[in-house]
Amino acid sequence: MKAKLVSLMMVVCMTAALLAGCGDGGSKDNANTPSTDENNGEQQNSGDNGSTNNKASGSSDGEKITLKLFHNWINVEEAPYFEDIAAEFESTHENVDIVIENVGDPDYRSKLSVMLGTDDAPDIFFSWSGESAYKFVRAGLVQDLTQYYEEDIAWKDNFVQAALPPFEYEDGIYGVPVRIDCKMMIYNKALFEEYNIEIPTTYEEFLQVCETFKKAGIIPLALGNLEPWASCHYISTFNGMCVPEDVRRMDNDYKTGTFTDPGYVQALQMLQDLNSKGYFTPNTNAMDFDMARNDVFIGKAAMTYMQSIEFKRCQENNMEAGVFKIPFPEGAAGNENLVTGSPDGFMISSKCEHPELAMEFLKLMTSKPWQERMITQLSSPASVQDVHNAENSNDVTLQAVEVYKQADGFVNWLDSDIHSEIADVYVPGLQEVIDGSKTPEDLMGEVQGIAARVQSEE
Amino acid sequence: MKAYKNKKIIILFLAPVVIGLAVFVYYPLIQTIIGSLFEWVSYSPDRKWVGLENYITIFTDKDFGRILFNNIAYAVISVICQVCLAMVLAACLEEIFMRRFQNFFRTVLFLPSLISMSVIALLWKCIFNPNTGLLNTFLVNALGIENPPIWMGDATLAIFCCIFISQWQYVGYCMLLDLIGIQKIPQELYEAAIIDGAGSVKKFFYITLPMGKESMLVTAIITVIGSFKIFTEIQVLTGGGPGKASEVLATAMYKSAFEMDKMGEASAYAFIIFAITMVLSLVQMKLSKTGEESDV
Amino acid sequence: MRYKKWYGSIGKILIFLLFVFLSVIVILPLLWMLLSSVKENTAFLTDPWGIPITFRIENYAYALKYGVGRYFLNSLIVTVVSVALIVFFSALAAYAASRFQFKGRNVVFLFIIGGMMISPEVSLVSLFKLLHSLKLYNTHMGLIITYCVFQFSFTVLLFRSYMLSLPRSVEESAMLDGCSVWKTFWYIVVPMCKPILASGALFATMHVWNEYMFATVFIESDSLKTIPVGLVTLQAALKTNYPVLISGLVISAAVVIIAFLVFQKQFIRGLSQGSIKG
Repeated sequence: MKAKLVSLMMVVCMTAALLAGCGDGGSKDNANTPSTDENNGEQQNSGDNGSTNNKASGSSDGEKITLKLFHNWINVEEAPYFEDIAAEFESTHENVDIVIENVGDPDYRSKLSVMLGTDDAPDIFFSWSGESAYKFVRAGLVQDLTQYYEEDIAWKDNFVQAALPPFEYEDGIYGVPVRIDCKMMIYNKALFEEYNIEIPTTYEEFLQVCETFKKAGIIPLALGNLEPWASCHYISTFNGMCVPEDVRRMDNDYKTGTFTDPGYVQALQMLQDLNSKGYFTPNTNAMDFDMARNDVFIGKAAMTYMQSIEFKRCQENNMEAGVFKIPFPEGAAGNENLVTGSPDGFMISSKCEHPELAMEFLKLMTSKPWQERMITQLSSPASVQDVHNAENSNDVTLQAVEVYKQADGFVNWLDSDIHSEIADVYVPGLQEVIDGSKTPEDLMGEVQGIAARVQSEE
Repeated sequence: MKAYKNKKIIILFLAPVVIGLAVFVYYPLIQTIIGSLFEWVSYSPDRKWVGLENYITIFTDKDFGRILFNNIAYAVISVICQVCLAMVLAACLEEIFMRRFQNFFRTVLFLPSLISMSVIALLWKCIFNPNTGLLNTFLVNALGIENPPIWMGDATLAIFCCIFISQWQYVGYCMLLDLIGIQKIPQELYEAAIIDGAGSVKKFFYITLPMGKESMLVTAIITVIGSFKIFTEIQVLTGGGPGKASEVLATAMYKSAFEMDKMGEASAYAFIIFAITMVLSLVQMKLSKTGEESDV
Repeated sequence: MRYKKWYGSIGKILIFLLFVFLSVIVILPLLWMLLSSVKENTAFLTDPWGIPITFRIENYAYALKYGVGRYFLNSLIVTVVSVALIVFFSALAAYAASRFQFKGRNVVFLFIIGGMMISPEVSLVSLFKLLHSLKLYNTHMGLIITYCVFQFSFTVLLFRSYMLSLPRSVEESAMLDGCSVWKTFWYIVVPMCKPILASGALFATMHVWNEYMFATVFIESDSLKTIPVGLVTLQAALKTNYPVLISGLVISAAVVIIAFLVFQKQFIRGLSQGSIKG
């Protein structure tokens, strides 16, 4: 009797729990249709979503094709961009449902890796270029898009041409670049005027500028290197300057990489010198990236190395900014005409059942109106040519666009361009080189060791 | 009691927890252990049998010593602060003259443990900031120290900064746990002790400590296990840096899994963490001889 | 005797000062957070430790506008359900483990507390696949279940050690009077355990409310996300506006702190009711 009472209780509890679970799941399926979710609709641009809602429910009896889009653009301005573009795509493709999902940056990589392993992999997903894209290619997880590029030459030719190779692997193209992110030196114009400083044209002059500011008690280069990817961007640039391009290409491929070129040591030496001469934010290894960078905005620092997708921060903080490319050191062995950075783009999963639709969506994203909107709404530099103009972009962005338009190509971010096991030694090691606890030679020795191991393993 | 032998009830009472653990904790764990013997990536079903190679890679890694040291330092300092210090603090708060303030101090000291790590990380990054941070401003201006440490940017200090923040967060939490334990001790014992002329210190060593053993054991097990699992704190504060100076087992595991795509190695790390904590807690339980005799 | 008294009061003062010192270390940073949340951004950047000159309460409105409200509601649902299940099921299991005699009891107990030794990070991938195949992925239920199982071990351990130290005479006499095991549990053991149940609930609340990793990985729809994940979004969105970010952080922290204060009263009452004594 008593036992029965208890067991009844338990059964009730568990059933309730299960029911709640099912109920949840069920309602989710309905609510999952893109941004027609009531909550969403109520809170943001309810007009747009309302109309989509009607359309979706109108044709919901027919066969619905669902395309799942996964990205990491979670800023307040960025997320609505995707909702809008999905709404437009759905208005012309009544049977298509675009389900958008996003995760912020530190977790994006891990979640993507995990999700690609399930049956529920996203159809279209954001990807960086270089090795971080190639590993998915090697695993056979993404579709070769070469045929689409060949079918539509005009579309292909319209891209900034340097943006395509970073998505090419062996004989195929595996991604569609949608924006370009390159690293340029941003400076506080007011400070440059106050100290009567010209934009440096040689690396010597660049160091001179730093020296002047240092003597004036202003931090020359704002850098917070608590997380070492910050200095990794510098070393990407310096490697591009000091190491011959073909050698670097060999090294970036883990099957042939040796990292024995003396240019790598030279590049690390340049980085170490900038710190030992006192040009970086003091105690840079202990400084948070964003906080250190804020010194530029409030006039405590003169320059900072910034990604073009972040140029809008200058405006947000009411700083009048100028931009230049770090000048090439005389006699260095690399290619002078490279720009540090990479195109960011989208890839299509090999499990995607409707690649042609996914492709259409990406073509919409790279169409002029949506690229323009990306520039104005998100201040992200476009991946196609001739959309930037004085109206939709600010000065610094236009200058950056000019630079990468004329560049021979990109020096990709080191950490996404080399094998992740090598990066695991190389990148944290930068902090030790900066604070002098490790010599450039020692770090490169370690990098060579791990490169050899990776080569022998694979 | 006969009722305490009713099998049906035993099963019913234990079922939800045991089944839940079996399905959602142990089953994935077994998957992980099996996974540690293969080389694989999370996004591909292909697996290559490598036997114990993943473990060998980890044990021969030149940073493994440092990683282990960091975890052990974490465990030792945490036990000192969160088990011993917390117990002493709890006993102090139970002293008659402190009773009046007990509520206030207990509440205040408990507050940090309620706050999520993302908040705490931002907070302490501001405080430890070597140039404008509260701490160094104080050291330079008030104490006149010329070259204050750079805290999280210093290879030796980084891990201790993280440990400190962890203590800041959890000493109050453990103290609360101990307080509950002490308050359960029959007052008669203390009253008798006072009549016998025992002072505060004696009461602590002869009554509080022996009686609070069980709850201290709980705290100790949780603390040590927590120290070997420690992850979020390090990840958001230093990310294991500078270099790899503040790396711990769990961050190394996370890096292997999600930055280097070596799920096999990550699983091996996971098993190492599991094995260490398992052995430690078994030893602890044996040493304090609880669990068995106390409840017969 | 007099000497001893004098010596004792110095000690008392020292102990008191120690607690004051500890409290300052705790309160100062929190106070700083509260003050920073109403600052202007430039004031925050130029003088992070100064007293705010202008009080910008609108920072909070701004933070709420960015969806903190919706995330908040989700967190509330997940937390309440998880905590209730954790406390109820753990109490049952702890009762069984502390009172009942059966074969393999130690094995079962070890099995339960062994769960504490497993880092959730470890099982992430297999758990993700498991939830996926059980159709629990991207549901609050999936999140709730994982929160429960990873909190069970600790809570059972906590409850059991408390129950072990409870006198059995009351239960035994109740049973002799013909009270069922269930009734004994519900009407005698549970009331006696109130303080520890409250603590268990509190610990579970803290854990669930602040949990981040499962919440990012197991939930994909924006409408289902919980506060810690929402805060990260806010952080990314407001990279250069610290005060607004901090006010978002204050909101999330305030909830748990208030919950604590409410729970705390309850278990102080539980403690002072004194059915434990004796």
